Amino acid sequence: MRKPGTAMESTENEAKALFRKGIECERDGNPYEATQCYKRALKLDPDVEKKIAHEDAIARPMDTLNDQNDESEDEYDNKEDLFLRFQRIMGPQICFPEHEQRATHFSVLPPELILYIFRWVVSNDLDLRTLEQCSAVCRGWYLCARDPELWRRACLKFWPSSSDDLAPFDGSWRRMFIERPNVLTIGCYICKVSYVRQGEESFRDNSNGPSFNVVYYRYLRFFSDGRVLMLLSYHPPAKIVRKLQTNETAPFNVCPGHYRLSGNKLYLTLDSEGEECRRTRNKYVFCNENSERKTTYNMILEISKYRSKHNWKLQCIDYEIVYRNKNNEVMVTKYVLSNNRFPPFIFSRVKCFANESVHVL
Amino acid sequence: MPMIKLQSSDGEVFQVDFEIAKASVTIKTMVEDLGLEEEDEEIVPLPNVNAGILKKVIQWATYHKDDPPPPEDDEGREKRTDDISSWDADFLKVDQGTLFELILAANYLDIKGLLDVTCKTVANMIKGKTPEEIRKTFNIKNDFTAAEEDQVRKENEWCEEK
Repeated sequence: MRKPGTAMESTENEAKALFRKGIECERDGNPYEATQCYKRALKLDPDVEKKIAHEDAIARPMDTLNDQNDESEDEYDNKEDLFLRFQRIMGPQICFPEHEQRATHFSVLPPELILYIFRWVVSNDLDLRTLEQCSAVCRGWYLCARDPELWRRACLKFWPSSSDDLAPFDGSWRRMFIERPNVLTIGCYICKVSYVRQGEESFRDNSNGPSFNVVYYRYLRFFSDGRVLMLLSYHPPAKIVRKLQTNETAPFNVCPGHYRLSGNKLYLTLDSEGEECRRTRNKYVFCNENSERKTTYNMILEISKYRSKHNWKLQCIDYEIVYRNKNNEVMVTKYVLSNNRFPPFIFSRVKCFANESVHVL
Repeated sequence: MPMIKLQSSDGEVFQVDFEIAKASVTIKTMVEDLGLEEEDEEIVPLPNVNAGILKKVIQWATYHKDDPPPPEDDEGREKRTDDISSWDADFLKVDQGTLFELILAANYLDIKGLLDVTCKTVANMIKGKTPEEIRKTFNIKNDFTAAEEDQVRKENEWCEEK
């Protein structure tokens, strides 16, 4: 039983030696010979690459020790701007492999191509959150993810000519995007309304009439191109929010519309197209001619902070409903906005909104 | 049909229909500037692209030779039809290394369509992942010190639930 064991060991060692020779050949700029060595090594032992990587990892602690020594000379003091700091200490390479790898590594990409990839990451959905996740990967990615051009492009979606307005944000497009009143487009704003409705009193006992706790939700879903969807539903967020990813996936009773930003105010105009019309979704003209009436909702919301998070809260400050019948007669109803009937909308991120990039930023 | 010869960095020569090679703005300009004629035996050297990648690029350009030119502005972005087509999705079922090399080649050869679809593919590999998952996906070393990482986390709090 021992014999096959030793035979196996020697094959393994032979494979390792061949593999290492391959690495050397590659280093010396001899790719053809290197490939031959790799091929022969893999034939002897298909796991050889893993084993070599493992051995190298064991042999490495010395390097890591050195790394740490280097860093202790330049400890981060919690005051310095990270962007300037990394610019100062980083060499030309953006990132480094954690384990050695033979295949081409991410670090071959020059910064301008990483920035282009990041524009796809942010995409038309303004998924700046994923960009922030990228900034936390390593120092080089941080520098790329904080590149002002990406944030400038994002700002231009909300404020088309905004370069003059940078001053209050210390000239930082990122700060402007985060702090200047706008809407987040990677989730929904949800307003939960609940009230108690008294049921009919029973014959027998006047004091114990049934009462119902009524709960419903108002959902607002904003897109970066000025469109908005509003939905009223008894269904809780877990059942609804995914469906608000696009107008096409939304429930039939959703109200599509547009929004406009002005300072910290948000102006919404929403249309209720009428049920049959949205179901068939054919001709808008056809729908206008035939529907009994057209309802438009005009809403003004105030944008503010929620638990120190900018733009997470929308408070309705004006709400009117305009009915127009087929003779074009108009009737306007103003909503009474007592606080408990119309609590604020609070932002809630929806994961699937940021799952896939469709259009470049 | 006029043909053109392209030579990869490792010396392999590919004969390609010029109409297809024109997808690369770099090759198009090179040919126009050099004034290469149809019957020329001249070979266009591409020192930044190896044979394996050049083969893939030609394959892509051949499939997409009749595509309309990419729109310059954002016109028509309401349509979601420019999602990665199923052919492209299959074409891009390659290992990461090849994907990065394709990005480099598409950039060097200036083929916007290929650059877009490859960058979008990498972007979608990043989407929905935590920093740690991203590092794992691309084998990237975390070179932050603990204090730096803490600071980054603080800076990014504005978009986090907690």
